[in-house]
Amino acid sequence: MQQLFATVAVGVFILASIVIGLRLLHLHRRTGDSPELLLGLMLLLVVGVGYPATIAAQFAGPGTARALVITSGLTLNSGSALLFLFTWRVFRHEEAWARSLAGAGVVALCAQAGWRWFDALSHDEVQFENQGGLLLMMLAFLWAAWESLRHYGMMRRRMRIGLGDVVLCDRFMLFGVWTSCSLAGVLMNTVAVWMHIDIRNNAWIQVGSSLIGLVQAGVLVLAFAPPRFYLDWVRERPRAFAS
Amino acid sequence: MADSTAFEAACLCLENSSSLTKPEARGTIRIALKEAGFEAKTATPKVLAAVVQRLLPDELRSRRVADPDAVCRKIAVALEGMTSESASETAEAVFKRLGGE
Repeated sequence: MQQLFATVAVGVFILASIVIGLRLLHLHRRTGDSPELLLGLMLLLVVGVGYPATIAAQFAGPGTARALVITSGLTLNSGSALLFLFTWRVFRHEEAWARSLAGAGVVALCAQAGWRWFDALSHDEVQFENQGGLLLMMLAFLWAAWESLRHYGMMRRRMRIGLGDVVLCDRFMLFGVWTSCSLAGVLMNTVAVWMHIDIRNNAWIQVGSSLIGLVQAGVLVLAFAPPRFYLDWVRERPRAFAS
Repeated sequence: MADSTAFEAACLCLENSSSLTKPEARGTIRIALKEAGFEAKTATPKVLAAVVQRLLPDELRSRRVADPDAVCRKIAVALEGMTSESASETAEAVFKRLGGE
């Protein structure tokens, strides 16, 4: 039952991310602007390819596992690099320190991906651990979460004096929740691996990851492909944001 | 990144219309903007006008500025007719577009 729940949750999370990722890329085709390209590609690489490859590698034979480990390393790292660039571009594009942070994140992730590739090819045994990459990924999610939730706070204050957009306020909150959940999920798995917990068979890890995945799927859709009834509900609640 | 033209105009007017020094005037308006969820770098004339009307009077009263309402009216007049400078895209504009609006 638990395995079934985990499988369904992971499936829903991956499917939602692919749908939103493709939707954002379609938007980029129309607008030519970079944020939709960066975020759309990030979702497809990290959740559409990297995450499933990471899971599949743990159940595959040695040859296939090595290929999957290399694939997951490349896609997770490149996706995280895109998230660094997205956060800089959207929230801090005029700030020199943010440009430096994004640049450093991209360089570190590229270097780490290269090292992981070399490491995977030069050992007979498949190396599943990726602490360096996961740490950089957590930093990317942490920065994105911070900026998004900061903007949520700013939008709430605007609502109090009648200058805010309640749907926009809600969107910043949803993206902040999504990035925070991503951070929590990666942190949970990183700590579990560090403590030598078998994450494939541990009930707490599986349930925790599943719940996080379902929340992520939900907030992602509500943020970037909100159904009409949800928008109507948000627009009827301006006082809730103003309090 | 420099502060917006509207912010500079509001600060200058406040400094000239009250007993506040230049740093005090800038700090007061900056605090009012922050309370309203805005930043000095991107504050447009419309935003400044709303903040001056709704939040600045209380800030000036707490700083014992004489006749804060009159001071705020002068700042509002100084902001009238100012146009927003062309600014780079804000996070709000990006998120509005990403949500399909």
